[in-house]
Amino acid sequence: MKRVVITGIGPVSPIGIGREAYFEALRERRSGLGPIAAFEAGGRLGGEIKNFNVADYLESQKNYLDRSSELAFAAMSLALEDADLDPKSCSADALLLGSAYGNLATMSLFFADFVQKGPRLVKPVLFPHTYSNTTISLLAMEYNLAGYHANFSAGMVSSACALVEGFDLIRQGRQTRALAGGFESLNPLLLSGLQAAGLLADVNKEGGFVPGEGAGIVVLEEREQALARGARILGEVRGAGRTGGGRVEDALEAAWKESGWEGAQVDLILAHANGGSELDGLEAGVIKEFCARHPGATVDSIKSLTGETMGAGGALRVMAALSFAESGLAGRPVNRMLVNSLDAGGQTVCLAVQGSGA
Amino acid sequence: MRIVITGMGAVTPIGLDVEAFWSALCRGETGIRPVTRFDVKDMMFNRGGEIADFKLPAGLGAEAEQADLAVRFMLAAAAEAVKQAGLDTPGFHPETGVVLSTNFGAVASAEEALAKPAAAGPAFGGLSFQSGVDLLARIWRFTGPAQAISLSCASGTAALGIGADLIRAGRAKVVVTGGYDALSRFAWSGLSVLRTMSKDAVRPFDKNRDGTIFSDGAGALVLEEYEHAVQRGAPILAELAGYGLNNNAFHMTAPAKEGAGSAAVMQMALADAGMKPEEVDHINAHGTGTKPNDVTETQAIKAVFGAHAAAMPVTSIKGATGHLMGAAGSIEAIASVLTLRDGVIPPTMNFREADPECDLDYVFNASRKAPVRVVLSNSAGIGGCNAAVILRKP
Repeated sequence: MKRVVITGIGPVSPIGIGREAYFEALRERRSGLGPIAAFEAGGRLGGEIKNFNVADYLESQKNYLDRSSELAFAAMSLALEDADLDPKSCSADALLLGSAYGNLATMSLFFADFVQKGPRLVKPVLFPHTYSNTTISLLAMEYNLAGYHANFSAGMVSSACALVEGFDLIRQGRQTRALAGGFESLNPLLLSGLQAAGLLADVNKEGGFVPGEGAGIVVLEEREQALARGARILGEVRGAGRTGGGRVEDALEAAWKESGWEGAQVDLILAHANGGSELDGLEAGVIKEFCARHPGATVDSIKSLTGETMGAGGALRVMAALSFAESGLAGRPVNRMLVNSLDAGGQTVCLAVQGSGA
Repeated sequence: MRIVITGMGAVTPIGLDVEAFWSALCRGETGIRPVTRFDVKDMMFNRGGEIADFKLPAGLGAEAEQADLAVRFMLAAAAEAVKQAGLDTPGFHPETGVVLSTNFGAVASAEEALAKPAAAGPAFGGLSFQSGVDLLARIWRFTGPAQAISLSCASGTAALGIGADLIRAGRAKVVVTGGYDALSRFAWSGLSVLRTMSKDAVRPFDKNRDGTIFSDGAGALVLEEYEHAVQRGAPILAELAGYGLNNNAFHMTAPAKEGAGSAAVMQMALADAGMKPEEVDHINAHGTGTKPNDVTETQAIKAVFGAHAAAMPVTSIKGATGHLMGAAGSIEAIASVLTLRDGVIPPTMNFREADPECDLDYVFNASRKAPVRVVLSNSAGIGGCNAAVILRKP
């Protein structure tokens, strides 16, 4: 089995854009939540990406982009820069992204024409942009990424699924590098849908989450190749665990076992803990028991800072783990970390991530 | 690691289970008719592969019965595959995962949610492709890793590859893969303005082909680690020898020049299978019946297979079934497995006149007996996605 290191990250988050800004906000535990301002949301809280202009990250002309694609373009540009990669050297890399809801804002736009003007007067340019895979495919075109190409649509674990696929492809020697992560954007349709489905936090009820938007792309690279090109190594993905049916414990155990950390301490469990589903209580209980079996592990979550960033969450949490490995947490060094992603439908994806310190 | 197929299920415009689909396909039946489910009077195109007489098998539970039509197609196809594979046993199945592909998901619910977002409630679930995956997993108590993928019309083939990856990585022993989609007024309007549709029939590789026609349906294939299948005594229908998945990195809707991306994905599949081009006996093509697809796919096949391309029968079942979108790759893989089983290549229907630019050995209008040991099934989709899978006789 090959070893898989992280050589660059491109976070686009409600608390900061780019590795340095994101890490600084995490160190200072700055919250990015506030009343949603981009559209009329009745004062509802959200984690929006503020002061964002896609033109800062994109040189070419585009006649249309969904906000999801805009955020993903920024994440890719930042990740490639952070990993010191010329896109020309990436044409054989795997491109793996995930999102829970794809390009819903474009679907709304297209649908509005369909309703108001009739089916013959819908916009041909918009329709392909409603597809869930449009974002990943636009990235492939922009950066000439003609290699392995997969788009995951697995709810809140979407980007975590993409990261595990990238980890597996490299570990097995089938790819030497993967650009993997996910994205999600806030829009009126998504917000009202989440609200109608009773998923959002509300002063009048228990549970529910604060929705956030964002994108995150992680450069996963086979360790020997990364060392040979003199890449700076931010951390290593050591293992993963994937289960369904609410088997959170089995996912944690599987990731720990695959990590090869036996005999060493797990320093941090970065919980999904979005506050929104029945799985939350289950996750808390499982982590408590895991900590009892593995003394010394602390538990943290970034939900109060970024909100539930849905399809982007898994990638943004892995990046947060790297930040804690760099700066320590509450004055303690952390190096071996389990990063959890959960979906209310029962899926758990746990990634074992190690800092570059040891 | 060897990965085999141990169960299959199909819901198509020409047959509502695998054997009905296969016999209709080999007889040369076609499933394209005027669309009646929604109003098409104000649209440019009115013929589709609509499934009118579908009934969900009994015993799948209330949640299944209330599910969106597209999801019910998928649940029916999956039920057939699950039963054939003998996975319909009591208790939880932690080693069984799910990978489903779709372009539009629970599209009727999605239309409802789009029309009235504030009142969407449960219909909102239709906007998440994972909801169909979770429902299938709950019904059969599959508690392994489960995920939806979406790669437009390459989806069904891609699901086989990504499902195989879960087994290769040791994350599951069995993966129920599949694809599903249903026709809807909303998507029909968008597909119509893309100008890729034909008004009367899909004529793959014909000189006068004028577009594709979209269809309802679902296909499911159970992938399993070989030793696991042998130990269970599961039927071994075919071996998944390898697959490829890539992007043209060229254009949203137009194929790459000379089928470069499609050629590359077939080469990826050959490399993954550790096979030489000469070892492939037959190609089940994407063959959508659009002008650009069929010529560039032909060029891609010639680029990869060289002189061997002329000796290799090629077929596209889309003349008979229409284009099942997210399910196309799934039912084409099923047809490929049955070609391996029966030594029969199903026909490319509706052929009238040869196109000098499409000059391979297509199996036009009538099925052909041929001993086939290895078949490559090829797919492509919007966004420049390509996928290919190589299936081998067990």
